[in-house]
Amino acid sequence: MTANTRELTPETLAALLERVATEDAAALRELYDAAAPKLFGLALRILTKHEWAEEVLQDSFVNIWRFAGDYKRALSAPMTWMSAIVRNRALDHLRRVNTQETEWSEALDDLVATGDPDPETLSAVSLQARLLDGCMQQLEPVQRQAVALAYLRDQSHSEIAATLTVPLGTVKSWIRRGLAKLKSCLGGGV
Amino acid sequence: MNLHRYPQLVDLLAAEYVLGTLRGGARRRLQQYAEHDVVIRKSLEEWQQRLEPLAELVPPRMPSAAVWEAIEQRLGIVAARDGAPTRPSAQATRPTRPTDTARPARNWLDNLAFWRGWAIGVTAIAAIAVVVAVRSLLLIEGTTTTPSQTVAQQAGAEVSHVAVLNDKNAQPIMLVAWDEAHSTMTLHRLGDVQLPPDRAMQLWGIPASGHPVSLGVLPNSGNGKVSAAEQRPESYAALAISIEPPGGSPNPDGPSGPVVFSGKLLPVS
Repeated sequence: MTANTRELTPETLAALLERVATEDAAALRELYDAAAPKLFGLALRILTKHEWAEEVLQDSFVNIWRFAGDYKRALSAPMTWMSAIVRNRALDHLRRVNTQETEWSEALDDLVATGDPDPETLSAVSLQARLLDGCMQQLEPVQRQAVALAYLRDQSHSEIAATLTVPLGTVKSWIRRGLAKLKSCLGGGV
Repeated sequence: MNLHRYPQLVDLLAAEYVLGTLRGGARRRLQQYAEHDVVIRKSLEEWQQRLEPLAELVPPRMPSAAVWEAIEQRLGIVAARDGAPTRPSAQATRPTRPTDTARPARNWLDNLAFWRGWAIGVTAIAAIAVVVAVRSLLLIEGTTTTPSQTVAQQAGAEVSHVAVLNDKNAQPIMLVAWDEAHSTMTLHRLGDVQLPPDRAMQLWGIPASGHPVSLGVLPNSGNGKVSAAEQRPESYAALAISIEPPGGSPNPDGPSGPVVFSGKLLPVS
């Protein structure tokens, strides 16, 4: 994108959202330039079809425009808030097309970014996401896949079992252990 | 069962609820418990915070330029494009207040309870009467030039089904014209639509049996086009609109908020 992108910290994004809330169209454009690739990546990962993902991205920005006034800095990071809108829209779309035919297009293990993330994109990502990324890397690859299939594809235990061609019980225990590991890694009792 | 004797179980159920793998009856029961149980609610919130950032960890991809253009069109903010591509000068591009998709006015029904428990149901006779009226309305629109997003402007639009959605006083609020051939639904606002500030309207297809199916979140204006994707009008006996959080109902199998408008879906010919 542009040189602007590098300065896109959560604070900058939050400030843009606050301007969007005052119906500042130029701020929406800046926010779009900053966040659209990230959000499109998410929509595409959930939906796999370009056309659907673009439709969902469009819907999501219309929603961001409408609901920017409800965004609260104290409650969530801006990228988390926008990603939640995109995920909801994308999962909704997925259910509408009740898609058995879309394929898990890319290598499963690549589902959650690994290795050295691009620093430009990382700056916009929330601190919580960076922490979660670190914790996800500590899971077994199969646990990571199962968790991601559930959250990002809305798959049930049995759908995940079919996708990964393993018994149902195996999936259940991967998910259970994966979640427990995430919890202890991110901090939290019980 | 006293769930509190099993804090680890509660936590696991909450985690799987947020992850989405807790389904069916178990999901509904946990939701019910959560309404009265602050410990369960807290556990759900914590898991929400833990897992929500997962959505941010997907590698970025570039959307095509058409997406932004479509957003501008829908919001009526085309003026903002005349500035520099990424940072238009605030002076030159002072946005005009969008008309079509203006934000919901504050202070609609603060009392949502008013709508609650309102069952889907509208008299078929009234609906058919409106369908007849609507058919002539569509014909009139076809011969005049009207502002954007009328049925007339869809190239080769063929409205196959219509639904007139009424409010609880049987006042027609919205016309949905379903073009099966092009997989689009065109919305025409017929009555006053005012949304609470933090809410969106979601359209549902109501099959003769089974749970409602989401047909998408609607523009707040109540006008415009939405894609029907691969849904077919024949699958549904009625359409309904519920009031939902931004992005739509978190429950895939039905509205989470009150159903405010509904009407039978009828074939035009």
